[in-house]
Amino acid sequence: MKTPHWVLLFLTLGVVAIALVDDRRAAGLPDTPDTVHVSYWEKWTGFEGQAMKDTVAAFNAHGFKNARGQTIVVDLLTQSNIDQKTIAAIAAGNPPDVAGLWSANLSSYADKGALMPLNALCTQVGHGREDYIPIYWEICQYEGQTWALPSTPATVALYYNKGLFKVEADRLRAAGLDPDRAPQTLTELDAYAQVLTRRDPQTGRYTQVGFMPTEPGWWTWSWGYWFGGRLIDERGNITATDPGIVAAYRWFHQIDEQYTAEDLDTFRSSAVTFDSPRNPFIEGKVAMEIQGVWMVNFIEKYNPTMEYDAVPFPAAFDTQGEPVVYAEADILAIPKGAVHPEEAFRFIQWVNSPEGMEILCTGQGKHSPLAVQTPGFLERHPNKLVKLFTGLARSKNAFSTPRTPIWSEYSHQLNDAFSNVWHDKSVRDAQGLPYTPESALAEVQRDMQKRLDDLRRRHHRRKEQPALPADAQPLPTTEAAP
Amino acid sequence: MAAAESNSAADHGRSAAPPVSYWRGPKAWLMHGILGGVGFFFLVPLIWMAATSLKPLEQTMEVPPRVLPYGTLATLQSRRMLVNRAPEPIGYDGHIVRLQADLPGAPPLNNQRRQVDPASFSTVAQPMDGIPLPVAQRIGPQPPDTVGFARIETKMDGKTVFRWLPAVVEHAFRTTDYSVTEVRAAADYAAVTDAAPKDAGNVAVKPLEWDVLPKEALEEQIRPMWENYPASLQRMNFWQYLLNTVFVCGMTVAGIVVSSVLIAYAFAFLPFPGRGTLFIVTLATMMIPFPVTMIVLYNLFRDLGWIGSFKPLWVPAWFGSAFFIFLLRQFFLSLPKELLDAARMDGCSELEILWHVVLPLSKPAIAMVALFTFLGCWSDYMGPLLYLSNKDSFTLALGLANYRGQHGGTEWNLLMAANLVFSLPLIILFLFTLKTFIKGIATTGMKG
Amino acid sequence: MSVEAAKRRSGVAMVLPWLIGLGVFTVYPFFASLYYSFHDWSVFSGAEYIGLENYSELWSDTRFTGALKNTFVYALVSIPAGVVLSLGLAFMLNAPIRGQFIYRAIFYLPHLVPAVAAGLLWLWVFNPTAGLLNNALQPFYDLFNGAMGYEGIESAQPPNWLGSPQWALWALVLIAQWGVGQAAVIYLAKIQDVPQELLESAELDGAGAWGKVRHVILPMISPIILFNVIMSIIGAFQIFTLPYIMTGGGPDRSTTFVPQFIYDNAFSYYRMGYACAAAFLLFLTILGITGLAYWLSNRWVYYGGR
Repeated sequence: MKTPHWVLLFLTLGVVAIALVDDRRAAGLPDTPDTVHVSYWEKWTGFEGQAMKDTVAAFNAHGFKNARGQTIVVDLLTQSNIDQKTIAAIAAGNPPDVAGLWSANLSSYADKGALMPLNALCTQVGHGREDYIPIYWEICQYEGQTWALPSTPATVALYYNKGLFKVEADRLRAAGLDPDRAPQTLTELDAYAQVLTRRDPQTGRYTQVGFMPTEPGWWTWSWGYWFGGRLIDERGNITATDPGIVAAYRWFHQIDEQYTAEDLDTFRSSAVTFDSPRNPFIEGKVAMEIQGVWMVNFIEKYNPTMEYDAVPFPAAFDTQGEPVVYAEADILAIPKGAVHPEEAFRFIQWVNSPEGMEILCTGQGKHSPLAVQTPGFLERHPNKLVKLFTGLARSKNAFSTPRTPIWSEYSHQLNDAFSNVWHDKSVRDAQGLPYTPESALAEVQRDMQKRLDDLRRRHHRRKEQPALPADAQPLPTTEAAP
Repeated sequence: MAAAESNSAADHGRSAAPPVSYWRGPKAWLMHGILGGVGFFFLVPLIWMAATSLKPLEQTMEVPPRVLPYGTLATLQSRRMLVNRAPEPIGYDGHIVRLQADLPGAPPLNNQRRQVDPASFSTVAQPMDGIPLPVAQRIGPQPPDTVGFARIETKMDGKTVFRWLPAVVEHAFRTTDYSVTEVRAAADYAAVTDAAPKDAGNVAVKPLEWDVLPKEALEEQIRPMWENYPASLQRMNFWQYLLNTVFVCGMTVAGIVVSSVLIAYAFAFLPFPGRGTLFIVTLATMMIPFPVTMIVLYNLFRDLGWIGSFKPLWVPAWFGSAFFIFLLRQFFLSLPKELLDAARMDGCSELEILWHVVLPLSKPAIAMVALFTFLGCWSDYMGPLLYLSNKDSFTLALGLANYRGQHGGTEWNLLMAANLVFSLPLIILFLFTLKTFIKGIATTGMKG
Repeated sequence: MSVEAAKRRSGVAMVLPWLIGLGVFTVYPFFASLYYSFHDWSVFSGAEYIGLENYSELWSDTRFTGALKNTFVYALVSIPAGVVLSLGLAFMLNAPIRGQFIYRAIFYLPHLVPAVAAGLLWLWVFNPTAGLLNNALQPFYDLFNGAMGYEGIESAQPPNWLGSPQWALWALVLIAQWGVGQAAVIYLAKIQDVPQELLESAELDGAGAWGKVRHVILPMISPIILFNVIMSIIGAFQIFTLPYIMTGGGPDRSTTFVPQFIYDNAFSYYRMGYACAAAFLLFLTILGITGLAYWLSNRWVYYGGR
């Protein structure tokens, strides 16, 4: 053969060889007669990821063995965009053995049949509802099955800057408010917020804000629950126009009217990252905000001298001593088609033992979702507010992300409706197209209920088990024990 | 459209006649003024990017902004030091803080230490042997990743105030540069650059020096903060992403060049059956927008088990690209046919003709194809977004987009530094290949 | 004719990769996409035929029609503006002064900045408080406020560009204009290709500078303008990276364009059939608009001459 033919031949061989090497499938390292490698995808980075790595290392150090006497080794891989990537991997029949997902997406996963139900495995080892703070067990249930077990939990509360309250004490007192405590009702919150908000006299720009629902703005869909609303009913139908939800959107509307939301957005745009000393709350520019249990870590890290505290976020109705609180968890699930489900469950089970959970939750500075903690866990805990957040999780009014297979779209639509209402004043001034809370939510209600009905209809047409039978009674979420 | 294309492609090689005489006097100056003015608007965002990348964080949010980066200097104990201004928390307005054991009225230093997130450092030595220590052990004075806090009281405006200030286990920071970066990342208080002596053997815990100074004691000086660059690259995992990008782009460029040359040669010179139809189909496919094929392609690659690997990004390149096939075919057609015929007479096979005759004549066209493929690949965002999942296998474009704060807000100085480093290779490449480039763009009407 | 036969054989062999590539990576996905657009297709369930349901749902989906409207507005404003600007630049770059190549490089430079980098850079430029643009505009606003006696909450302030539903789309249009240098360089090359004799004879006919531009240069470069307009249409209707990175489609969906609508439906909601239908409508739209541009071009594109 002549030169060009040789060149082409080698090129082809080379490319094929590279293509063979360029392979990063989920299935971790190959098993050996002595060890089984469990591949585990997790989303955490930073110190939270480090805590997970520590937990995995501690598990591996135990050298647990499976039924065939092989040592179980968990390999952790950090993934971005974990929901989409896990779905793709499951669909391709090539999933990890354990996936660290957000519990908010659990129903969507379960509905697609993407996860392995864990009921049988849980029953085998005697692991169940009574082991958890109730809400965290509920979070892992969908349609009567257990689809995952929690890793780290979270609850939220109203953080407030005590130091700033002291600085503004005179003005607060003048308005008839007590500077030595946090607001206890929503009306009080609005009153405190008004006093604590300051504008630059020259430009009219905000220099300090008492409270704004868009800082940090991570759960805009959830406010309705503090007004006694619900986003889905027992049958899984959409209830976006529930009076409580509408009341929350009226509240945004009123904040927009009073403060001009666009100016608040401008104020917020000067913030640096959440994870930095220039976080507006840590820096003392926002006096009160709703934040999760993790906020303590960041305050202690960036402004250890800050005087702050947290209280249950006040609700608009009488909660009878059971504060409304959003509770969520990260979950560990076994994707359908996982190669090592037993070994994977051994790991999940160990993470859900007091030993594993406390390594993880101490590292991430969060409370434990387990009903029972080892003595002294709360006392030794680095998060000084851990008792508050544990207590909040036990509230009867704790709620989690609505369990609906179209949650991803529903939450986007709710956020869009929020954005419409939030920007209503400026858009209306410019275009004369007013959005009312009622009209924005009615649109969501119409679109999403239609979407859900379509989904159910198609489920029926396929003669599959309908995801959410419109006529079914809510299933009890207790484990189907033999 | 076809007419326009063949017009433009047929123009290849023709260079514009140089203008005979230059304008002189006011007319020329006016034109320079206008062009310079407009050019300034085109350049100013890039200048802004470069300027921001050299500023300390506290200067990025300054209103009104200053273009040049300023460092803050203070004279402490007759030593001039570079300090980092605090973000001016309540009670310390306009002051920086420097720790000093012998402050009047200060209690003895209480070196209580705390664990601080190693990931917030820009340069962190891994714990011993890369094995993470159990949590309990990492709390406490464990060099090299420990930051301690010391309680310090002082009198300000007549009242006693105290605060916890970061103190650094010196051992962790072997050079003065590191100490700046680290302390800044750990806590945005006054960091004193040259306070840490350089002897690395010293393991003693010594707090950095801090003070509360009146504004008048501070002095600003133009000082580009080059430290932003290593900090930023480290933070975004730059070198790993660069490696990935170079791999993907290398394979893509090689694939496009090899396959498109072969295919274009066939289209230009070899009358295989169905050539005309296939060529028209080829042109027609250029009209199909990526979103149309994206979903099915994604599912195809998923079924092949390619998601997460680089293959979806570079393997298709080895099967040709309509645009470059078209371009090279037009170029090949402009070559003198007699040369090919002569070679054929000599008994050369088609591959040999391609290798020995056509390729040497086509170097500029091929260089152009390679250049534009590289540009497209380097900048591609959607492909990596769809196909790459593992954080370690990101390309630069994806890594950069991901680097921005996920929860809103950004450290703009670091982001702009990464941004500049990401864009620079293209700009340098452009400046080096200015002629090929401009001619290439002009003759093809190509999107860069 | 063994030579011809050999040619044919090598031709087929050489074009084979392209046949595979065209088939697997373009033609198959294209038709499969069309096929799936008539199906309910998510990741796990197989595709179920539902006729035109996806299309009729798209028609009544305000998110889709909104995205389509945004895409149209973006294309219809940014493309003509781009043509005018780049032609203007090209004529200026054609002026015989020394150092033109420097200006050419400067105007071209922004086009090289990758979309991700440009997006992040402009995010920073558009930052409402610390950004370059608003700080440059501030003096004018101050002047205005001073003249009107406005102060505090009454005073006019520069917009919160990307955070504001009225302004975000225009900010993206503005960014698109940053890249016009590329078109300008192309036009410049074509302008310089206009035969000197034509210009001279026009001069003899008494045409002034504007006359030459209007009657000689513009007709001569009109084919490349058309080509560029068509490429810009295809590009504008596929815009994804910039809005995705800068605004994520917000605020109030004011910068959600069709490609992002497709992406969201396919990869966030796993409604792949629905997304395929939207993608096909996008394709038809592009086809229609380019066809229209081509049809209209009979009136102004000049193909004679050389």
